[in-house]
Amino acid sequence: MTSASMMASAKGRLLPALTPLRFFVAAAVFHVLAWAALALDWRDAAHFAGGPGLTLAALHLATLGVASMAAFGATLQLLPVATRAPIGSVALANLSFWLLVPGVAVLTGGMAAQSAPTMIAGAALTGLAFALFAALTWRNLARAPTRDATIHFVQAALVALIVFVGLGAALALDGRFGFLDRHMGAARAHMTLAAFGFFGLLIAGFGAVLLPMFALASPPPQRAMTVVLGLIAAASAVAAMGLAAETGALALVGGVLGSVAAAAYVFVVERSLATRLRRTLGAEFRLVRASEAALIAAVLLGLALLAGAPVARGEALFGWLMISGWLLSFLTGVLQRILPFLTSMHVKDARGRTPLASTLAPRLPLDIHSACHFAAVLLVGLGIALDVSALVLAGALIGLCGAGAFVWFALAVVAHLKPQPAGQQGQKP
Amino acid sequence: MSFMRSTPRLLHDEHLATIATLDAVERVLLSRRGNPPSAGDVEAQRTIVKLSRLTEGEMLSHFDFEEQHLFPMLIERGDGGMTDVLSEEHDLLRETGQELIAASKAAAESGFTPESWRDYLRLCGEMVERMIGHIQKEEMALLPVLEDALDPDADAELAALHQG
Repeated sequence: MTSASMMASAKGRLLPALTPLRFFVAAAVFHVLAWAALALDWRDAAHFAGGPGLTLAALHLATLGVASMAAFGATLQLLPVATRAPIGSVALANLSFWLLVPGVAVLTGGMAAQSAPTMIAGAALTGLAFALFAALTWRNLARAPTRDATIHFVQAALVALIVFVGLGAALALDGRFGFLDRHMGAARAHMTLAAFGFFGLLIAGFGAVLLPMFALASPPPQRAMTVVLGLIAAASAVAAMGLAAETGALALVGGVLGSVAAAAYVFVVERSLATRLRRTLGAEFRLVRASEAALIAAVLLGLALLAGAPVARGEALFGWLMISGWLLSFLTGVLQRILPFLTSMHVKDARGRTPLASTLAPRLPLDIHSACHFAAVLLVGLGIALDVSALVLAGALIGLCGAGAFVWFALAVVAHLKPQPAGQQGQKP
Repeated sequence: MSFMRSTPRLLHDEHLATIATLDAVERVLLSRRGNPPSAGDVEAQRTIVKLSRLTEGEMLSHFDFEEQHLFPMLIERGDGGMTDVLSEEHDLLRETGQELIAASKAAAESGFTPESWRDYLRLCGEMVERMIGHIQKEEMALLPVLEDALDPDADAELAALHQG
């Protein structure tokens, strides 16, 4: 391979800046909407147990709006690096964004307005976006000359995606036509496969690469990652089958497996981080560590619920810990590192050099976001546990402020990408 | 991180030594803003000297070894995917290093003024961030590739070259 073709292949793996970054900015915007929807439904959120309304909309704004946007953007950019194969079509990658954004907006709008036809339309658009994403990802995996652990995580996540999107579409249609015998069982299976099967596998697979890289640590051993992969996949599948069929014993087995999987994942990540070359960890690790604690708390609570423990508002608290405590903490922690890093690869400073990522990212909004996020997760969690709606409202409003600060950060970073007048290339924006 | 081959292990050990110096720069110099250190501030003066030695000594020999011996070999084997990025970063780090050395030499003659100290700290911050990012790439990409690519003979030859 010549150095020219080598350079070409390296550039081929770096997508145009806006392709991944627009997903991340959209995730930041949906993050604001998720907290806003929760704040609007503050009186009822603590008693949420499924069904259309603002809390269901808030939940999907967080999962589809924030987590899926981040997952799409990260996968489209990181997977070609891991597989050493180009993504194939940037236009199709962009199309998946332009399907997902209106899809999530219409779907969650339909949920908030309790309109089954609107939900079906949104689900159709969102399903198309996921199908396109799955096809692009699958094709990339098929072209991969390497087979490292990350690739197997993505493959398993795609299987979970197919099932949870199918269940999601069925749930949306059931709201109109009422053909499912066990609507709540299907909804719980859909949530389990989406959260643990899809997002969980992507977080574990990419986290095993990204977190050691952020911390300058050894990546986890391949064998350990294979065990984590098997546990997460088995837990998601068994728990989803048990929940869908409303077979308590099977769901409980899934819960046990899920607890072991979560513990194994945290153990493997922390063992890797213990090998880091620098003692000091970046600020993003406060969010990553909080996400690990929330994950463990969520799976233990889920296990207790499956075992029949009488926990008042247990399902709402489980969902809160899983979505806000685990998923949102992890994703905002990782995004605050990825956004400036990716942007720095597409801009030059005043001297025509690659700028320092730290000069692209204002620190203040990130500090505001972290402080607000921790307070919000705690307050809303307490509000649900103690059934005090005022705490839910206070937490949601604080979370809204934090999400606003995160949008400020994201826009400040991507503003460096603005086109520059001819003759001033390389000028600092 | 553990390596079976001598060459990646030697490079890894140099990364560790570099990180120790950069940690000292962060702890001793960057954590204190405001006035420049006095001539009697032994820890600060020692850290400035260590950073100068790194940027005009160890860092340059590390980069030269990689560019002259490792990168051509990796490119020839088709494993050179990262070498253009790493070479570009070497150039940036050399440039920042030269500015740091110039600043510390000027200060050795006439001491730091508040303004020259601010500039020096800015350069220290740039060196720490760029170097840590660079070491991240080498640890995650270059050293594992070397570990796979080198046979025992090539490894022994390169290690001898590096130590020679």
